[in-house]
Amino acid sequence: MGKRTRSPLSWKHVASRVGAAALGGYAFTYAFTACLTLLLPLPRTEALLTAAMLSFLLYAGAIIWAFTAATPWRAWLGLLAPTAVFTAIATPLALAMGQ
Amino acid sequence: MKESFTQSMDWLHTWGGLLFGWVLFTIFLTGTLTVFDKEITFWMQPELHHVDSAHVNIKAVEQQLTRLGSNSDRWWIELPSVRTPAVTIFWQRDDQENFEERWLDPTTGEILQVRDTRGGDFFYRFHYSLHLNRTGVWIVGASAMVMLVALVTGLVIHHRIFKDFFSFRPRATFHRAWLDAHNVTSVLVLPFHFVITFTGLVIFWTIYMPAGIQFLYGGNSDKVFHELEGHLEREPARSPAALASLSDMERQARAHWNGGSTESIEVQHPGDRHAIVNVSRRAADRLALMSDRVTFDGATGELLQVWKGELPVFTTYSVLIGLHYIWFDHDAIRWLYFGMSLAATVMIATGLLLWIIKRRDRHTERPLGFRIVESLNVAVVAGLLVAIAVYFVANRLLPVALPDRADWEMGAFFLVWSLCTTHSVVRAHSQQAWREQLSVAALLFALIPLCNMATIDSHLLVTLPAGNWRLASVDLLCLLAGLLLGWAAWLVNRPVEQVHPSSASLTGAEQA
Repeated sequence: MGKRTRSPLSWKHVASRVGAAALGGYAFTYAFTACLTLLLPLPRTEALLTAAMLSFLLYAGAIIWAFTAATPWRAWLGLLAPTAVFTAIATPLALAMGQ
Repeated sequence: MKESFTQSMDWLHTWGGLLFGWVLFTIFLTGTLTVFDKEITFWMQPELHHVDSAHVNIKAVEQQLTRLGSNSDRWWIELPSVRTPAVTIFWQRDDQENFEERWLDPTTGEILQVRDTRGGDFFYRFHYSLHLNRTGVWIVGASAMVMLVALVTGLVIHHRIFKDFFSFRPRATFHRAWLDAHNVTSVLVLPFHFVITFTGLVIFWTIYMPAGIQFLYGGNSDKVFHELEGHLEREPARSPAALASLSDMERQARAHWNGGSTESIEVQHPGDRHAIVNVSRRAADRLALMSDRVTFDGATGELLQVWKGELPVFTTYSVLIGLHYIWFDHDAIRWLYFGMSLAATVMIATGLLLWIIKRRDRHTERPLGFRIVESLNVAVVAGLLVAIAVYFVANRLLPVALPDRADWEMGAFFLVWSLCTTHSVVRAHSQQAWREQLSVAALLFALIPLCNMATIDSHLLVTLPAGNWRLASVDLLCLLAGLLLGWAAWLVNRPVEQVHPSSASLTGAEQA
């Protein structure tokens, strides 16, 4: 990021980073929230609300993190890799729980 | 590394704040008005100003509903409160999406002829949906996320927070004074900014973050609400049975609430053997929004369920959104919310202006992007103020019997706002546009109490001696807004291009 102030900002890099923050960040938050809802040892409405309320703070954190990652490419990777992992955990769990 | 971290946060704060600042300003300004939404609605319905709500005759209200809503499947009765004097009834037919609404005299149950207006409800709905339905809700949600991020990044870049907290240098350079204003309005009520933004997002969690609903409930959000709020529902039996006394059920329900009062009575399948009556407690004496509810069998009057949302996370959730809705009755806190919300609005406006002011000294020529930002600033900040004033004036000046009157009021709001936008684009100098629109807004706000005197009999000369602050406050605030905006117009009128070249090279918090 330090380099950005010296070299002119490439709009492609900016767009990629904004995309990583907004879309990658949302996907990451969505998958994590699904996982947390299924795994929290609480009555199911309580787990649902806990995960949903935390999600907005998590998303804000993910957006900020995407802007601090060294390159836009790393921001995408850093958000989508855990998204894949969380989805891989949540999907069979949800199926097992009858949804 | 630390330096570049701060720089990226600065970049995010600046550009996120700029692009979403205009939407955020409209959300926060209309949200500020929403703090007094019921008071504005009351003010906008002069026909209700003399209604006496000391005694509520539920039997008379029930008779009225039996007459009007005989072939409907749902009834709602909203009982009067300190903020709303009349009883409101709604009913919905099986085959219709929309419901009918009437205002009743609490004592006699007679229908009150009230002018057609959305009142403060217009600002309430606008501040979360921008009059764009679901699309608007998403835009507002994205803006709220940007706001949340802007609060965090703002803290990061403003690392001299405690020192700067005590600095306000209105006589320093133009830029410093604006920066101080931005910092003071941000830092002073930072917890409020955070809480109101976060809770605003939480209110719409089923729309914004339905991950859990998808994975745990197969996407069925109706089912979620049933479980969350423990609603009892049943299909109609299709055989008629008279409704037991609603006023008895209301009295019985209150016995479970330790002094709490009733907000509303809902009847499902009225006149059917399977009718259900829900009596809900008013959230007036508590933070939690989701209130206690007592459910009865409508035909027999038998108690079916006493619901109190007492699970810990649910209570947390209910309190969080209660902090946003402020349905509790506490005038001092309501005014505090109004002040803090106004501070948030000013923070956003000063932030938008800072973007211009910071760059103005660096450019001798003004590029197109610069002009667009200047025009939008005028159109959104000053233009919205003009439109709000027009909405109030239209409520008084449009003929009472005009068909679709409420639509005309809103139409006036949007028409004037788009005229202001055009004006801000056409005017070559933004300073001129600022001065003209602020002057018009000042004039219109000052005119509101006068429109009152010309059209209705509960104006300041009557409400002030009677100590009727609920009505007088609205007029007085309009006058105050007129004065402040007039002052702002006068300030803009002064030449400001006197910034010394040395002050254009800025140090301190701006670099941070």
